[in-house]
Amino acid sequence: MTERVLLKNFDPRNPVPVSYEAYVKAGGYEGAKNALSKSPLEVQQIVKDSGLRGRGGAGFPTGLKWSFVPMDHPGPKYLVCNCDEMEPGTFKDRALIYGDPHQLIEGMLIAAYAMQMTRGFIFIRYEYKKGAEILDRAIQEAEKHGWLGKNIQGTGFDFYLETHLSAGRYICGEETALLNSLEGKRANPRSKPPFPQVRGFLGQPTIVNNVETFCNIPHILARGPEWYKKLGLNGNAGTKLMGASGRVKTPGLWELPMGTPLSVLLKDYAGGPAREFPIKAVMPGGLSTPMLTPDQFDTPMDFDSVAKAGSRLGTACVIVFDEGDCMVSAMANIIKFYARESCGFCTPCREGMQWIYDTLCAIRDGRGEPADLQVLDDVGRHLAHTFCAFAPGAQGPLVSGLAKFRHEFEEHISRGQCTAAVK
Amino acid sequence: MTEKVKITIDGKEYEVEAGANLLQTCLDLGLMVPHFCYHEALGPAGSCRLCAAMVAPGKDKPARLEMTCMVRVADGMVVSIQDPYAQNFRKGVIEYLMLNHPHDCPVCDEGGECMLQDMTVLTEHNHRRNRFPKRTWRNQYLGPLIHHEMNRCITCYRCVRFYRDYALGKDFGVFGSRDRVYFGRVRDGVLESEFAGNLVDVCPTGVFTNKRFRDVYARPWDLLTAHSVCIHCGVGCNLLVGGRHKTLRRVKPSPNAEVNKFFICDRGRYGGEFVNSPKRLRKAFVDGKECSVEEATNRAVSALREVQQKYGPSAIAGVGSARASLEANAALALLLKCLGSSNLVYHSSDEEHSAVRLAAHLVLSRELPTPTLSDIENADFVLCIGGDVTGEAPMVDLAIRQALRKGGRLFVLSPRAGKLDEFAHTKMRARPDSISEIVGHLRSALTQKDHTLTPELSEILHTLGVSKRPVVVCSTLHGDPWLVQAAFEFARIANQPARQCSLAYCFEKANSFGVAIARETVQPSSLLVELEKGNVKALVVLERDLQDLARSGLGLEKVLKACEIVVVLDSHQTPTTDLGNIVLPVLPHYLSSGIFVNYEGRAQRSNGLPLPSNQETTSADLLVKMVSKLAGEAAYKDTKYSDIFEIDPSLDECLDNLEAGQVGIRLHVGSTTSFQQLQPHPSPDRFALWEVYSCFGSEELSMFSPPIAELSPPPYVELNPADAAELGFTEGQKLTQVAGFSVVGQLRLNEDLAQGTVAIPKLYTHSKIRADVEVSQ
Repeated sequence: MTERVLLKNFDPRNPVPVSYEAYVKAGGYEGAKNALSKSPLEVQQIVKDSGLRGRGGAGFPTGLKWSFVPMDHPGPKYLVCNCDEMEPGTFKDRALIYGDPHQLIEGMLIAAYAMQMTRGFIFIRYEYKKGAEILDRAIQEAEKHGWLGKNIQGTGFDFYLETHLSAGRYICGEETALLNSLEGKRANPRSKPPFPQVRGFLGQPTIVNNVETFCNIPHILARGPEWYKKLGLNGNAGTKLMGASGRVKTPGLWELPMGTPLSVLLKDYAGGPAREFPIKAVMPGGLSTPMLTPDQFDTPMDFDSVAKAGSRLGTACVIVFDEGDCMVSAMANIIKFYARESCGFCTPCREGMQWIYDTLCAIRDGRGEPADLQVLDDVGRHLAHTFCAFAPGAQGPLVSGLAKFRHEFEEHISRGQCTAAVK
Repeated sequence: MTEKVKITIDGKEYEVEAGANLLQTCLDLGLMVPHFCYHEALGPAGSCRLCAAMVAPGKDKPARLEMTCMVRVADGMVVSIQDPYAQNFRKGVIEYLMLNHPHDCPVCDEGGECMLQDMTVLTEHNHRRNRFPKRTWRNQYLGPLIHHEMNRCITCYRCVRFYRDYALGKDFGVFGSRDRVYFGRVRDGVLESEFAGNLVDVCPTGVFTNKRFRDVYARPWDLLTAHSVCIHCGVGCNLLVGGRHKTLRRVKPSPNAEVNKFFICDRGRYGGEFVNSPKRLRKAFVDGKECSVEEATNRAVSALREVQQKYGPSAIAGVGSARASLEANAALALLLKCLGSSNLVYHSSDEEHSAVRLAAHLVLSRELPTPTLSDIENADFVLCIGGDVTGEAPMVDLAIRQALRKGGRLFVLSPRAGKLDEFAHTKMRARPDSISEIVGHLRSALTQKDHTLTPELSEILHTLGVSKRPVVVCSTLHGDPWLVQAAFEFARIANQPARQCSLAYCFEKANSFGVAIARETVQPSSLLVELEKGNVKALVVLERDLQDLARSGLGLEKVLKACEIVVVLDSHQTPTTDLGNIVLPVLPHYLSSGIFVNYEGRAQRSNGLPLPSNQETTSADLLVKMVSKLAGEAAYKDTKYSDIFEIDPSLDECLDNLEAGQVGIRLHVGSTTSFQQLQPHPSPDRFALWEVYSCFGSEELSMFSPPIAELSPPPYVELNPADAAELGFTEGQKLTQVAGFSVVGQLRLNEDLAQGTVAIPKLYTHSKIRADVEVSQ
């Protein structure tokens, strides 16, 4: 069993918020103390040295992202926590805010100090309303104890933090759409560049990081980048929250070293297949990651290895399919989500996704035609060229599923019914 | 000067501007890249994904599929529009757009000038694979001007980007998400923006179509089209008017690089229907009896000659028109000259006469620059003085909105709140007769540091001090020559080497400027005096209703009855034509050609639609015919524009050769004419009357157009609540007299109206004119 860092204070199966006192007793706010005793640029350097990569899914080096913020900017700068965890099959940020809210607050405080930002927002998924209440209470506690608000711990640094409950769209997880939504506008993504680090919330420099990313920071500051680097396997830094859902015996959430092989996660933690059927496919990090098949199960779960296997680590919350699952039906279900959540801004996503969904439903229901596969291929290819990363996210499962399970689609079309599926 | 760089497009090298939009660069080079959401005025959105091409940062570098509208040109860039992958992608995009498009081209009004049709053909999409049901929408009622047909929508977001982002409208937006994006209002209702008609042009397909054109529809290729200049205000927007058979069918903007680019206001777009009005004069009348135009013209000539011989030349007077062409006004001046008279007036009051003439001469003197619409769009400081720009010169309002979008600051100084006020950094209310004095204070404070000002006025000067491109916009529609002078003096001092301050005067009518620079003219009051005395025996009235002239003194009927002969030339029936002895029908604007001078002093030719079976001739031709009969053809041929108008003689040839559809000529004078000193400002009465100009209702000809008449406000009287209390009036009360002013309408209380002001709308209600005249007698 590896060291638990993020989950050390609570049980993710039954998260009960850790109080301020308990958090401090377990070594909380030590990282913040350390950070406030250093210069902002020193803190940035420590985070850079730790090798921490963004836990929202893209894996961009956090320290590098921070360094893009113009420190001499004359106006205000903003810090935003992306807690719009709407990726299907993903439930890691939820555990972190329900279980250990102070860990997030401390992480955001250190980040704010490192970039000299005086206002922060936690953008929370609508369904995590309770989590927002937990955070609001924790923010009050932190303010009471001088970790938020004016003149933090007598250092003269101010940081005001507040929660913002999302109105509820998947696209709000995309950072520029999130910022538009936070500004009270339609949640359409913005064109990049300029990146939010330079022009974000209200046109000012803004850093948007994931909950889990922020939660790593107090520990890096408290125990040093060298310790942090050694937590992972094969040269990967830190631990990673990994989850499993779908056709496994014991779905759940665990904290494992970055780089733990997928097979270990599936067998040792998720308990292997739930039914008599062997596992057929896995989406390694949420709905928008291309599928991996059993021959790829020894892939280490880290950003580069999963990318090498043709997928993405994403949120590292795997979704598991077994041989009893009909991939046509599964794909229709997946695309239904994307067709529904498209913001409607650009053409291939807005119109194409619904066309794919209609076509998949027809194939699933035995109304498929041979030309349908060509339509799926054509539209699927074009999804790469949309305005934001939403449609490429849908393209991942679609294109990989079509390539790896093409025979199921063909059989559906030629025989009008499912053969691979439930017996 | 922008840097030039070399890029390669489809294997050919071009030298283009660095940092420019790649799509626009391709279009400028004549390379057709299909596109929808990109619009030159609205910029790129990146939403349609149609303008895709393969773009590589340099030779031997990997190319990526990019939306050219989102790419800025950089040195060495290699672009392939013809790349098979890009072509396939563009074809795909059209296929997606067609998934829900109803394919109703045969019954669609956009057919023939539909961008979606063009782009579909261009991308070679010709086979539809979709076999699933299409989405359908409920359409909204958006008022009498625009028809809504949402099923045709391809979601390019152009409409909302124009309406909300460009024109700063609020009552139109985008709703919903996924493949159910809806463009419209929260609920059915008339679109509030004066620029809503432009939705028809920005929409690439048939979602927003011209409701009036639908009723008299013709395929665009069947329309006769002419380059014209808008007649409905002094801005002089360029238009393409389309007609078929005997009627004008529609009006569209025609880009003029120095005036209007892509847009026009709804008064311009929908006002043109006056051409088709049943009130058009089609026949000549002599003493109420119908006769041929030839006969009536001969009668007019002989009657004028008789009066001249019987009573002398001074018994003959003429009234020119700010809505008639320069040629027609010149011919009228010539006619009077031939008869030996110089009794020529153009304006309704002495104040208006002085104000408009002063403003026009100040523009002609070129002492201060006059901004074009794009100069106003780029201003960082705008001061609007004395009027409501939205109603008086709508396109100047739209230009100011662009300045605001770019971070410019707006200051408004007027008696009553207008539509631009909500965007103003500071707005100040002052009664009409005190505005020139306030502007005088501002000017004094510019030169004397110790001059004390109110905080609002200090704010104006402070912002002016840090601005680089300030513009002052001053109204001339309210007959306030002191304001015209004060604005000029303020702008002259504000204008410094480091900060060029430009000054735009708004003029009421398309040729207000043109007639304001006439050499021979008398003050309206002197004509009225002569009329009252019965000294004027013959009056020649050119395209003008004398209502407003008559209002300042006698009743219209009395004025005209004092004359032995009244010759009226007009295109429409007015109270004046009803009372004339000799009435000559002339071709209306849009069917006749002529030169009009806009607020910048820019002379532009407006062409007429050559619609078949028009019996009438233009007023200029009729008057020239009369001149020829009186004094021979030589009299006409030897006269130059500079003989009649105060312009530099070098411009004569330019004006003779002026063609429609060009940028026009900015007029100037060779030598600065000195001006007689203005009378001192009369001491104010307890109340001042203020005529409120609105986009719909305040312009004469457009009120012959049914949709404009429908949108015009009802008559009303407005008072500040404090004044109303003092006068003992209550809201909703019907009033005919307020503080000595004759008014018509119900009282409205307006907090945002300066105290001491009685506001009434400037309204042309053609159907009611007769009734009003009778009441006033």
